[in-house]
Amino acid sequence: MRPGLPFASQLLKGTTPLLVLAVIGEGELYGYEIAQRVREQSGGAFAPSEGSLYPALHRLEADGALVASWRHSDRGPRRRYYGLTDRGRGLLAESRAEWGAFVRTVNQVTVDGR
Amino acid sequence: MSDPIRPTDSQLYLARVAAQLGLPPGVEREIVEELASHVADATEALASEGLTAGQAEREALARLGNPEALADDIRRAQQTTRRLATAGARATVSFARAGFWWLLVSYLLLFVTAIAVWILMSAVHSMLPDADPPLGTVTTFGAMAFVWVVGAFFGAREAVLVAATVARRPVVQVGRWGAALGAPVVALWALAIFEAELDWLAVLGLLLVPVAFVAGCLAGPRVRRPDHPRRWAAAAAVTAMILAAAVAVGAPSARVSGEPPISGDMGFERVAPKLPKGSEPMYDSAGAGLPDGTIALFKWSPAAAFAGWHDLRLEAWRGEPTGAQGIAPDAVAPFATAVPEVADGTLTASLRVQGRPGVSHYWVVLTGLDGSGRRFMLESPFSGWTTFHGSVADWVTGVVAPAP
Repeated sequence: MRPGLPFASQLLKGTTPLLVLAVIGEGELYGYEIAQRVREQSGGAFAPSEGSLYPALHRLEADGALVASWRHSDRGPRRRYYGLTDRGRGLLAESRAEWGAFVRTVNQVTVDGR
Repeated sequence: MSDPIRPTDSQLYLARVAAQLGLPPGVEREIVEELASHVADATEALASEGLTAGQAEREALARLGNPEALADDIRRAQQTTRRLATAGARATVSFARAGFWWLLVSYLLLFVTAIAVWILMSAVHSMLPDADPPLGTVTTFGAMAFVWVVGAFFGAREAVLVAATVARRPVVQVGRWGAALGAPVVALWALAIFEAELDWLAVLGLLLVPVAFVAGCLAGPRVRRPDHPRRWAAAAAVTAMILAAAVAVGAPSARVSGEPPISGDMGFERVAPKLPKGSEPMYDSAGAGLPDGTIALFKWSPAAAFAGWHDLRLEAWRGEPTGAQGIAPDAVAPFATAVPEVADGTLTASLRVQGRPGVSHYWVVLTGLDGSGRRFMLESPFSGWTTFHGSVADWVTGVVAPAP
């Protein structure tokens, strides 16, 4: 997928919370690391807009899905790490299931139906 | 290397984000710090890919997008209904907790000051023989009302700061909400629900409580937070105990003794002249303020002793607050009157003396007109102490429309 296309960009925006939850589910990360991890794991195909990353993180935190804590770094400024709460783990599981169903439905129309 | 005087692109960008956020300082600081750390990481990574330091910084900022739009998105993400509901509960708890602590601190400071002044005035008593050490008056409820004012101000201040932080809303906005929602409740409590023994000082203090609450909501957050109110309370408590002990064991006992000087006829000439010697009616009388201080009750028997008198009146006059100086100099008319009635050969009258704003000491006098139409005092005045127990609303009602 090429994120530069308008469709891909819209799709990526809608899936940012799921992507964020998914990478944080592997371990606590800070903002820049989350963006990097998404980029790496998608083979460079997905690069969530850094401008939409922080609002998404703060929304998930406000909803109780993420918990944040400051940690000092060996080099550079201290960083704000995000981890999943129980609510966040539940939301991740739900979002994965919803995404799976969505993909199957889209495939039924766009692939199987052809 | 950047010019130390000229702000960097990052600093300018983050300043624009902060200005647009408009959130409580602590929340704002954390958001800006998080973005600064992101920019630093991104700049470092881009520089390692071959960009110059300046290009890397600009590219890192460009990826974050427009600073105002980013700030708006982050603020909207922070402001959830869940946080708003939590903020209301947390603000209430903070108001109670901070209000209590500042009430305690200010009362202890007041007490310490009173004891210190008492010691000072006792020490210089020989130079100021008329000085009355103020310990008793300063620590009465009148002074306590000003302690409530301090508690309302700091309680409101803390509640606004906590609510703004929890709800992620601008402090000014939360201050306005707090004042609009809380002031009616605080005013209702201070002016209509809370009841105590009131004097003018207490009424003034309680009237200021809602004002202090509003000031605490609107201006309080701009006041620097006093450090460690608990330590202040502890220090004031310890100092109070030391001073109280000093008063108990060693303070000079030069307090004014005996009755204050009585001048003239204590103002009774404003009531009516006394009867000439030998012309008083012959009767037995009994008068008493009832134990609850509400009514002064009088009986004279036989009622026939007053046969030559008409238009008898039992009059209550406001006395000097000290009690011994007679009728208050500014009292020009009785604050209550009653017409005695005859029952079973006894003349009986009662007056309501309690609940009169500004009356702490009263004098009750029986007067009547003689055959020539001149009014005289028919017996020696009787005095007593009373209090005003009620709310500020009761007090105001008593001033505007006194009970008969």
